[in-house]
Amino acid sequence: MTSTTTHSHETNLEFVRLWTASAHRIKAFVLSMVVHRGFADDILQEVAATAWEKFPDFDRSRDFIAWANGIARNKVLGHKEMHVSALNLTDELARRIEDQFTLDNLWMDAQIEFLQDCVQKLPQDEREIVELRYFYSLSVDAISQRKKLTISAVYKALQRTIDRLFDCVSFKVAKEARS
Amino acid sequence: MSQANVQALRDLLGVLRRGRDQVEIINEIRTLIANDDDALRVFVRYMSIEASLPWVLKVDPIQSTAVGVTIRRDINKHRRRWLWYSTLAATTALVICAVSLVWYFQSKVMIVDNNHLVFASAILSPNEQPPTSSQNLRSDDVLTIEHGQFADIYFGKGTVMKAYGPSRVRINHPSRIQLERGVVLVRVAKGDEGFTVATPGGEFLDLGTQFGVSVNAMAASEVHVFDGKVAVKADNNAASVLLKGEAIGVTSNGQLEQTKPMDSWDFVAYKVPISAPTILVNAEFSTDLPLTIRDKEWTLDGKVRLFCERRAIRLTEPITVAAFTSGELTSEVPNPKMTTLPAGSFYDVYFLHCDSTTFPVQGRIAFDHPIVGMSLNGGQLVASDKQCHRPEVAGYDQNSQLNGKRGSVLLETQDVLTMDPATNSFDFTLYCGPSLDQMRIFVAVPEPNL
Repeated sequence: MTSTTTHSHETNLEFVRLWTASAHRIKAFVLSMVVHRGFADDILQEVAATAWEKFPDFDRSRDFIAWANGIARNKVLGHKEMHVSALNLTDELARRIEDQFTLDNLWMDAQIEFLQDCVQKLPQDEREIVELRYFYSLSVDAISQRKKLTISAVYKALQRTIDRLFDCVSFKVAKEARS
Repeated sequence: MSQANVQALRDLLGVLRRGRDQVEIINEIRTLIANDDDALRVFVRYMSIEASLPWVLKVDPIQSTAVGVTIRRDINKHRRRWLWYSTLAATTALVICAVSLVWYFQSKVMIVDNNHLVFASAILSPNEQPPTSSQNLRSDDVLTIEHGQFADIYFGKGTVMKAYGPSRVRINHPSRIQLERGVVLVRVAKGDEGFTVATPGGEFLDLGTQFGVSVNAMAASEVHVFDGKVAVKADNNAASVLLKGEAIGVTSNGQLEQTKPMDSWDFVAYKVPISAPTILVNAEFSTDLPLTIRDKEWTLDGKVRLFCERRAIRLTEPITVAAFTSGELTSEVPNPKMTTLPAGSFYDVYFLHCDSTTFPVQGRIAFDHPIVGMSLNGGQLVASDKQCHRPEVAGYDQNSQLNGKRGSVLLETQDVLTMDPATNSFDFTLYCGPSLDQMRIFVAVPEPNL
């Protein structure tokens, strides 16, 4: 067994700390470029592996998320076997999405906090469905059986809930920006 | 951006979540966000929310009943931050513990004690007769177990390992072996926790358990945990701990795959001594190029590579394949005879892959048992391979939905297969280009008595 990269214990800890704190943002970026959640998870794993490998060369004066997003962009654009539901971006559009994320990063901490607030305000049923889907990763079919709803009703509830969260977060961001 | 466009984007994302009309919807989304900065912003925020939800739900903000609006907001904010950082710290601590655990066991197994090393190895006959011979093994000994044979290996602390042929096992020291090819089952004795099976892409460390490890011809490995726990460390340093009933794969270049349910059929495949590996010895190539036979892989002057892997399967669904009847199978045959193999039936499936070349490869392959059908195609046989419990040969294939449950037959190709059911053999002329480079050969074998 061979390993091409050597990391000191301190480097390991530093990487784990940075990655743990940033993974959701990097995943958001990847998801924007490939749309499909499962495929985004696959890409995220590849990004983690590459970031880990290249971490000793990472310039600590740079923003870790921007650096990792750069790796993610190259992974997505360089992926030979693109998933059928991936966005198949041009270089230019990928760059614009990356720029948008760089801008949004300024708001990301606030957005997470707003999103927590908004999730708390969801009706109990909607919150449960979102938890089953996004936290426990159950299929819509499994959720419909568990909640005794039709599949269509679960999809509608999910869409309604995500829309509601989007409106709630957008409202809070706008309010914060005004203040 | 107009409200109508926002709604259009929302609706498109909703349809996308339902998995319908993926290509069309994605094209529409791409057009929208490419031409409208506001649409791009909305899209990015939607994706951010969806990606952040697992983390937010994990944090589970406090259910506060504090009084006073201003105070509650500040307290909540403080508590949320505290909770968020605590969760981060806890997660980091857990990861560090897992990594440390792996390092701890790794350093533990590096202590080589030749005085207590090993023990007896017996290469048994295919009929699982009692050992006829035994020998002591030492560090760096290599065991090559032929197809249809197996070896029981007993380690000093009572750990027992069963290696099924074809396998190649290197004994590193009493608590560590290196599996270069094949399949092993390990029952680790109490006190020997940390017993390690190393493979080309990673290491599997026992944490008190029974588990099986396989390494296929492409050096991809898998561990299946029958009992207890196993710590997995890939060469890229990704680590995971598996529980009973779980399995995970590690690619040859050290990438950790996702945890999946255990599949005992992977191990059954190598426990069937009846079906002989005649594919190896009876393969002949009519070429003047130097031919190297290396395990289940033939290499012709470094230009052609024929790869074959055998797997025993029980079909969970019926599958339609080309019938194995006398005569030629070419793309000129308009409607080749097809046959449906019923669900529940048991077969040996040979996965044959030919890497490309500029000239045809000709040869003959014979089997000891009847060939009942073949599935042929260029590229990947996604649908049928999934049914054959070997989904790893498939990747993202946009044609998978077209293939359905029907095995493919020759497309536009010059390839020729001449089938002879009387001798359970076929002659082949393969160009190994994109036209045909994959064959699946279904061979009827007696059901194993497990």
